[in-house]
Amino acid sequence: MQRIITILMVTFAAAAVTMIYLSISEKMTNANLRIQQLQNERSEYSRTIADLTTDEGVLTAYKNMQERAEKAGFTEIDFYDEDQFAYVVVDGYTGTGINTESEPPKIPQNEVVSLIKPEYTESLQEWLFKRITTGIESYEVTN
Amino acid sequence: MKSLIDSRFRVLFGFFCVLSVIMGLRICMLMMDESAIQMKAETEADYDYMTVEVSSERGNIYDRQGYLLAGNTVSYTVALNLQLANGHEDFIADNISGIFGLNRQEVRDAAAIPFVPGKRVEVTLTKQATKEMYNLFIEHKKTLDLSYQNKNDKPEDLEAVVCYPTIHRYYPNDELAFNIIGFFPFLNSDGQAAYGIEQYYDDILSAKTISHRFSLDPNVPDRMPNLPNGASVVLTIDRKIQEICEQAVKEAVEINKSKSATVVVANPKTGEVIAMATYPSINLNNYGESNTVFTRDNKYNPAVMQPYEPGSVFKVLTMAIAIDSGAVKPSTIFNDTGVYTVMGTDIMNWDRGAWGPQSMVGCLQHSLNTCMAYITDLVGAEKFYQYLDAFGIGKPTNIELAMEDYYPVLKPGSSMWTPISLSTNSFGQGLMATPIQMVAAISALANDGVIMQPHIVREIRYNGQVEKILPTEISRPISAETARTVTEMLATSIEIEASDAAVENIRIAGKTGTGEIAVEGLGYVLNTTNASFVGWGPADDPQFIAYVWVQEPSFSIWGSEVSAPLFSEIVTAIAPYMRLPDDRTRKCLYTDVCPTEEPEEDDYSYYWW
Repeated sequence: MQRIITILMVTFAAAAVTMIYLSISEKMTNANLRIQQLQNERSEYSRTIADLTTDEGVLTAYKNMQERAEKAGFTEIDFYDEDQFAYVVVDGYTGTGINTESEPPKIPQNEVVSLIKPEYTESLQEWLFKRITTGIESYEVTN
Repeated sequence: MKSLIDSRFRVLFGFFCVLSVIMGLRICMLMMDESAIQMKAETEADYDYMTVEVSSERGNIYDRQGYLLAGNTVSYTVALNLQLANGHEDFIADNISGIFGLNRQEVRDAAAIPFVPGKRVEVTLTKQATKEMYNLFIEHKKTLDLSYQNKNDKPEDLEAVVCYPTIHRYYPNDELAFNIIGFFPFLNSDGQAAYGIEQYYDDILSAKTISHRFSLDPNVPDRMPNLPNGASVVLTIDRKIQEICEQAVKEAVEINKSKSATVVVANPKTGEVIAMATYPSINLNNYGESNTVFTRDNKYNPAVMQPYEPGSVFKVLTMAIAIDSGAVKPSTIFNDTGVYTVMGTDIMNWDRGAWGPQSMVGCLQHSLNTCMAYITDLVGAEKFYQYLDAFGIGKPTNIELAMEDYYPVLKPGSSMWTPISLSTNSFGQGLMATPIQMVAAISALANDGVIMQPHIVREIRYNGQVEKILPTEISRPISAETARTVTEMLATSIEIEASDAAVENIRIAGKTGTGEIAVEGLGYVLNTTNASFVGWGPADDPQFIAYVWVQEPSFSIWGSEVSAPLFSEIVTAIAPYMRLPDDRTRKCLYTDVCPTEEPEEDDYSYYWW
């Protein structure tokens, strides 16, 4: 009877380990698939952002803005007619030429985003192997 | 009873043991089978790893206000899956050739290419389908699918047509600043960036593409590499001023029927290039035009790539050298007899005339070659060329634009140099310089004797970091006093002459130049000239320096008639955009003295006569 119980316990333990392993494998597989999906989404978003930035560039292109301004009824002014155009000194602004200290242009930056946390980048075997080897190394060091 | 159970369990245990051994052996046999090994290898190759192309984008280029000059946009590579396309050639050709602007017969021929597994799977139709084409295709495909929805059989479809999105270079302003930006040949996947910023900064602008083997095995965790985009470059140019200059040079070429025209506008106090325009031009989104538009004599960006004999604009440097070295003073009188002889060779004036006694202002005003030859003799060859070195003539400026060219100055000791070279060099013949070299050198006169490093890049942005390009002094060839004196002489000269270069209500210093062109085998040819003008202002506190070069004008050959009015037109138009009021308004705004009346007619006779 004791043998049977032992066999059953071993079998149960093996089944439990197998279940844990399968469960982790399933999660890893899902994570991998999710990574692929997110990668595809990220690529698409990157393309969309680049495309929208360029669309904005097209909309604000010199000729397009000029055309829109003309269609909207704006006309060129005579900069040398004091009734139409006047210079005003603004306190704090000292330059008389091109302002080199103006706010930098708003340029979208590519944020560095990590898809998965570092602790999820190693498998169960790798984790065990690393723990065993570091355990041995630390043991060697302490001795 | 217990022994019976034990024996049954033993039998069962033995049975399972034998069964396990048999299964193990069978598995081993199957695994060692050659076909099984091959199948495993194929399966691994197909399903264990997926090769993923991970790309970043090429960096953008902006003007100083942040307007996009070069960006990226989505296009589509359209291909045919041959396995699905074979047998449907006409249907596919009829349905997609119009949408993607392709030749029907070529699409039909492509669809008819036999499918060969592992060898001929796909054939690319175009790499440049636009978003609009793609959307049209998707709509058409949906319409076809709907029309077949209620029918039992679906005779033909467009499943064979596959579209892959890709990113490619796009220039929203078409031809604006084409010569500064350069281009990236997006139609040629192996092509290299050409000219301008695109070529000069290709290594940091470049997109990175890596092939990553992504494991599909759940026991092998993996992550996608994160590639930052290429660096973005912010230029010092202002697109409004650039546009004004481009329109002006285009009109100048058309009116004067010249080969080309080039303008450079810079800030002498910082070395920043505010505009650099040239015509003929190309649309950067159709960069193939560059093969036919530009030639050996008419380069992509003449401002940095095309040294030429500048002619009399060079006299401002000669006069600065003569005054700084103490060889002459503004009041020094030169008696012009119309001829100055050097080693038996007669140097004559542009009009072959004799102008009599002239001060140095008169020499500049009448652009006397004889006077320049005389004062360089007073300076001496050794000192003259030392000054030219300090001005940077004959050396590249190292501006951040690709393919900058320069032409070394011949000096005493060189086999090609003779004392006549000194005389001809004094009025800008026998040596060559690019417009950007001339701007850098002459900016010393507009900036109290200091030359700032000419630059066209304001900032470089990479991965959240910003590198600002700060103004850098590179040399002080002349004293501040000399710079101011020569500036005053040239401003006076323009006022006395009532030059076409004069700008209403802004006092300008400047000089025209008409350089004859040497033709191989014929020497200097009459009626073929380079017409130039260099000017800076306001004369009392220069905020800009502008250099105009019209190559081989036909309408008139003279700088005073071609380049000087072009300079005036450009400065008048761009001054408000540089926040540069006229002299009277400037005094009212920035000093306690506000002139209320128009200035009286000046009597210049007191000046150095």
